[in-house]
Amino acid sequence: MLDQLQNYAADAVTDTLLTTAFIDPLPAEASAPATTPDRPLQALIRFCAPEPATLRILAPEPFGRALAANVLGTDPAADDAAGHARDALAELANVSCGALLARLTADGRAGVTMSLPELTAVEDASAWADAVARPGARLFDADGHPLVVVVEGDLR
Amino acid sequence: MAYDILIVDDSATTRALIRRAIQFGGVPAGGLFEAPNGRAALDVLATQHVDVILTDLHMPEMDGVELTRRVLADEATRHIPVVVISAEPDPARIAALQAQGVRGHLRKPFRPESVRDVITNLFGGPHA
Repeated sequence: MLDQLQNYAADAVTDTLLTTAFIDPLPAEASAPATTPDRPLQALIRFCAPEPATLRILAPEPFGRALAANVLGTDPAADDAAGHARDALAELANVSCGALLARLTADGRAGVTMSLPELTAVEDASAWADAVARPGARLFDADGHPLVVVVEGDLR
Repeated sequence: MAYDILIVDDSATTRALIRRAIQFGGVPAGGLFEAPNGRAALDVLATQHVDVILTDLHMPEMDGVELTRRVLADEATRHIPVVVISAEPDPARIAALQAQGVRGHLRKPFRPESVRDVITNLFGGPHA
């Protein structure tokens, strides 16, 4: 089940980025040295389907800026993009989780619910490597920025 | 006719995206108002003329379900069409809201032109 969940999550994040920001994330190699950002941001959202699980998206702050810039039609260096960077990443998690749960609902799961997204700056230097090493974690290259998508939970 | 539109979403990025979709999508918009939750939306409705409400569902303080319930229960606001723009995954919950009086639904992620289409359809098509 976790494999299927990871596939759905990866599809949901990819589709959300393409639809809202014209960003086409490509699968990346976990061993590439350029994929370890300093103090990445983490957007976390809890959901039930109906068993509890979490969706986490980790990315460096410049990706949040690039995402916001694409959504807002502005330059990543603009103040507007910087001001929306964290919110854009949190909304990416929110919309992606909704899309993931819509797939699960279409598969016949009832009683799906989701929380509001929580956004934090990850201070622990090993957190990125830990996330990438999680079973089924997906690493992407999103317009030159690394992005990790992790689903954790025990859905039956 | 220009429409006064209230955008309710806890994501400032999504509010800006919807505002851009309205401005660049050819929607005849008059006033564009924003609120980050249902409670703030009710404050706007108490002081501003609004022709249509575009609301998210999952928001802190007061969510879109409660906002919709209060708008539809209040004689002063029940005539204002409510459109839900949300990542809500459960079609049964959307159907329940539509049965209560919600006039339209747009699922996130959406293409910007979908915002124009949902507002245009609400008021009877582009030539109404």
